[in-house]
Amino acid sequence: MSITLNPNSDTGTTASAPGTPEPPRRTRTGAVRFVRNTPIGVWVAAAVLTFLVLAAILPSVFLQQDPFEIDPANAFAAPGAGHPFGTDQNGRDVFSRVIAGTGQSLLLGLAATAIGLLLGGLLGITAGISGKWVDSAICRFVEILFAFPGLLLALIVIAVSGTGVVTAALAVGVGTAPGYARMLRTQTLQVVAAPYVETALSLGRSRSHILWHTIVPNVARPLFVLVTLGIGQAIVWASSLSFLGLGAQPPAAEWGAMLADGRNYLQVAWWIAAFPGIFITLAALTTTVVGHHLQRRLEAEV
Amino acid sequence: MTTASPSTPRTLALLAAAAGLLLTTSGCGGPAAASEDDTFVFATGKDISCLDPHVNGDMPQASLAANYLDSLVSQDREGAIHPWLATEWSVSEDGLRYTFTVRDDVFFTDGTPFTAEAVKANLDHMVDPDTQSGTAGGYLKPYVGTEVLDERTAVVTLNRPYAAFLEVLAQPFLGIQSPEALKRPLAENCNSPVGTGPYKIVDYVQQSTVSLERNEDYNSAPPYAQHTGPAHIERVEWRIVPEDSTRYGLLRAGQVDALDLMPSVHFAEAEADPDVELILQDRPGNPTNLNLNTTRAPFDDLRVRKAFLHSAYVEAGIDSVYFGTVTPASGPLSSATTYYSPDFEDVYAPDPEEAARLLDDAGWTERDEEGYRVKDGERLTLHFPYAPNSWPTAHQALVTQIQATAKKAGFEVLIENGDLASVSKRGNSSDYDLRANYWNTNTADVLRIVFSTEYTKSAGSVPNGSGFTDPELDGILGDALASEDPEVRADLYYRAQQIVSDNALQLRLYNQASQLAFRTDDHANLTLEPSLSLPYLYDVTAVDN
Repeated sequence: MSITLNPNSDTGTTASAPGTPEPPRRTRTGAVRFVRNTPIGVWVAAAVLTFLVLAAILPSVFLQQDPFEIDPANAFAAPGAGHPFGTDQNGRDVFSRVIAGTGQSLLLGLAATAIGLLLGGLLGITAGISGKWVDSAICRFVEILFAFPGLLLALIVIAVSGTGVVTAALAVGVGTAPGYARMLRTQTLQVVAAPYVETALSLGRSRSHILWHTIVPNVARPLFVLVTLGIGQAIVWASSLSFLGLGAQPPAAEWGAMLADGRNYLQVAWWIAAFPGIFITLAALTTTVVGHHLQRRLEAEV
Repeated sequence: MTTASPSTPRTLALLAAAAGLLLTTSGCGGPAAASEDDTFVFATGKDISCLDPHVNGDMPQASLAANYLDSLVSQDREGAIHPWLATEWSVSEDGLRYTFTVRDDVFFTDGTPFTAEAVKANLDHMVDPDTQSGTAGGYLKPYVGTEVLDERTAVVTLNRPYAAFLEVLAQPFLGIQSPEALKRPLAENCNSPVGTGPYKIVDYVQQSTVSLERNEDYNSAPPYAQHTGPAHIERVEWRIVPEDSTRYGLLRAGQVDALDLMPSVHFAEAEADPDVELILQDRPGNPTNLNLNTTRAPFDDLRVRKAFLHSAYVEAGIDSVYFGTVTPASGPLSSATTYYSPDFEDVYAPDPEEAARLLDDAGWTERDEEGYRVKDGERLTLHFPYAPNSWPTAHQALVTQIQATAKKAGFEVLIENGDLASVSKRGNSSDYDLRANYWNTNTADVLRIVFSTEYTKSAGSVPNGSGFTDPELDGILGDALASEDPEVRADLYYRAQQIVSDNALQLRLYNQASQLAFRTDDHANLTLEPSLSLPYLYDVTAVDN
């Protein structure tokens, strides 16, 4: 968290083109700096992510066929005209299914991250502001949760509460909660020790006022970055659960479930599994790249 | 595994020396030094819950049992019964007492001698509620008890005539185990059951491998075997590989010698491979189907059941995902079953208009915004607990297609994926509208097991998955068991098939079949035992190449 006044010393900056004679004028500094400080890879990632989000919100724009319409006579058709990604074992259009699955997969990722943040935030912030034995109790509890790999924790939730999309989101959320709890506790500790909290205290503000108006906003600031980084991971985990048959149920067009459907046909019809696999990778990769970039910028600004 | 063909005595000697060196080095890890040729690796596609086939009773248990258990009697391909561990038997006039004379020169692989006492111990074990035997115990519902007259004579008493008794005794599900081993706790016997068969189980790693070794003292081969004495191959490794593509890949790579549940999608490739032989045989019994649970709404209404059957396009689905590798079946009996009648095959052909008419008639007249039918504000929903890992990939695709075509008729089919244990639990407590099932057995008496009142309850899995109860059908099926006259039985079983068909109790899909693939470059002569067409390794020989 270095304090930087010189914009060109940002990490990852490569945009100061050598041949540019004239430095940018002051009024345009913000926009130009933003464009210059954003590597091309991030732009590509952002573009793909925008496409995915659009597909998730407005799938009908991209859909040409009903993703659930079966056509047994036309099963296992290779990618080509009419079916850009081919058809699956039931003759359904893989492209339509991948697009239709974007919403569910992204939503699963978002919901799981939100649940993880909520649980982790509750634990972490409580620990951070309580101190003493409450803090140690929560820390020990979180450490116990850390003893289980996240995905295993998710599987435990599934085992207790059954399969389905909602449980999958809950499961991944619980699985990621310990990580968030630990990060948010550290963040809270830093904020609590900050001079402005002391100032607020000496001004005679009530404890709850300080909590909601001073501590939470300052803790929440880096959350945006955590969320973008977490979504990618959550999408992969949620797809893993669906792959194991524990998340989305048939005939849902969920990427993990489609990957599972296609895995036994890899030798004869690679496209059934390959395209959902590529999209899982794209979603995880793009959210992570954009998240990392935001994180670097934020750290640079603080 | 020598692949070179030695041309001169000198190369031969060199090779022998090299082989000897190999043996001494590889021998330190294993129990006995032998060349790889002496191990036959079989990959099975469905996990085995318990090795003892008396417990539960699923096909993978029987497949393995056919290779380490002997039965009291044997059955040939034509259905005739022959001696095996029992050398002769007689049936009383009223059909209630079976007197078996058994061999006195056979030993279990734990050293226990086989006697009439073992017959009693085994039958008692199968009907013991603690054994939770759905299959063997289910077959023995008429069993009262066994009296041991002397070492060689056992008298089995039944409470009603049971014409199919000897036929079911010939199945590996009712294979004879060591009475000493059966005294151990159930879980222990599940891991290391002991028989008199050609192989004995020496190790079992759950969900991975069962290791078997040849029974060197084997002297009780069945009449259908092609030789007597010990098996040709010294060791068998029975690997559990549920993933279709992995199992097939192992075979293609030569890492396994044979597999079952041959994936449909690879049939063409396997047929073209000169080193691979496909062994295909339809099985008798009740075909692969979906049970329609008649004990609760909406399938308590016959019209709704009929509408569901008319809504499904099964044959189109089978063509697309099974590539014609299974025989479609829509009658109550598989076409490989005695007394099968083809008259009930096309009763519920796809007919969307008839389905719509029946549903209207049953009061499911409205449709909601998603297109599902609604009655009194409730959607026409069918719960279908399903364990995808227990079914071939093609079956999973087929049920998805049935779901899609049922939707057009206005049914919402909820395929609820779960693990086998939770799905079985729901199956046994009637907590479903649809249940995927089949029942392989070598007699038309399967109708009684799958549709009669007495099989709506069971210590293990419930065979009568539609929960159908009808005194008339129970009477007909009971009479069929009491009769020895083939014409009378044919007539009774025809009437039974008629009642089952009229009541629309199952959506039948295709005949169960043994579908094995076998590498012929290292071994020869993998056969099917006749009662349930299970893989039989006893006659397998190594091939020199």
